[in-house]
Amino acid sequence: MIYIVCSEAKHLATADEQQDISQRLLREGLLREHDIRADQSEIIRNDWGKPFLRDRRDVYFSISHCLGGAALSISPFRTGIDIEKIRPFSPVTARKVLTDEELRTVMNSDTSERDFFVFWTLKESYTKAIGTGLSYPMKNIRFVVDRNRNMQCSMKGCLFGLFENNLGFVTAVCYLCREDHLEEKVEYCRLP
Amino acid sequence: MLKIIVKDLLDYVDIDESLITEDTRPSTDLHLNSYDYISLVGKLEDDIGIKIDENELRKFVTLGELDAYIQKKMLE
Repeated sequence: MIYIVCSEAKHLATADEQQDISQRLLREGLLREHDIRADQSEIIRNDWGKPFLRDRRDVYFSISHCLGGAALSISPFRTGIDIEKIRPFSPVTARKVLTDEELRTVMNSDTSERDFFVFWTLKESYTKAIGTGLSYPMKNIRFVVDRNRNMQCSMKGCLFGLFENNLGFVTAVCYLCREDHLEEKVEYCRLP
Repeated sequence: MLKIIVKDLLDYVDIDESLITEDTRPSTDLHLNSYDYISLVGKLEDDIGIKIDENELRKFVTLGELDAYIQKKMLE
């Protein structure tokens, strides 16, 4: 299950607000999906900072936030999620994280900003799913994404979802599983 | 060096500069997300002229530790 909160720029503008809404999403998501009360469940982290529930190793979750948005994925599979607002990106960052082919795709596109953040969120969702975050070199995972959001990934044993909305946010989710297809439920939440 | 890190950091966070110290933790205290963090590192590489290894990033909890790493790299 995926929960996404998107707002206009005047909301969720500060890091504390983003953190707060992420934690609310997690509390409500765990309660709704698994009847788990977050305040009674100890959250532990691996060496790279990925959070887990100490007593429920069958429940995986991932949270993400950015200016104006937050997202949560709860799954029986190891999962990672990333949400970003589509905006101007740094060419230096693009060269650091994209393969030559991905960089060409972005630079030759009429929607460069959107395409960059599609690649970014897909790669980030993978690094979060495997639990290493930034320690994993993003160039090691390669994507080809067409205009219809069909995607091919160089890694096996993972499944991706990509979601965009008219407020200019892109969200990618990754599941580490052997399935060919997953029925993903996505709920866009209002700000409380 | 910390001054350059703070100057570049202020492109990504909206915070009073005087509140940022060498003990500030970019992830925990400033909630810098991964895109911001990688972009900050790229900007520092451009400004300072060194290569920062992404694999080393997770070792830096505080800005002071990042500062020490950069200073060491500059001497290599």
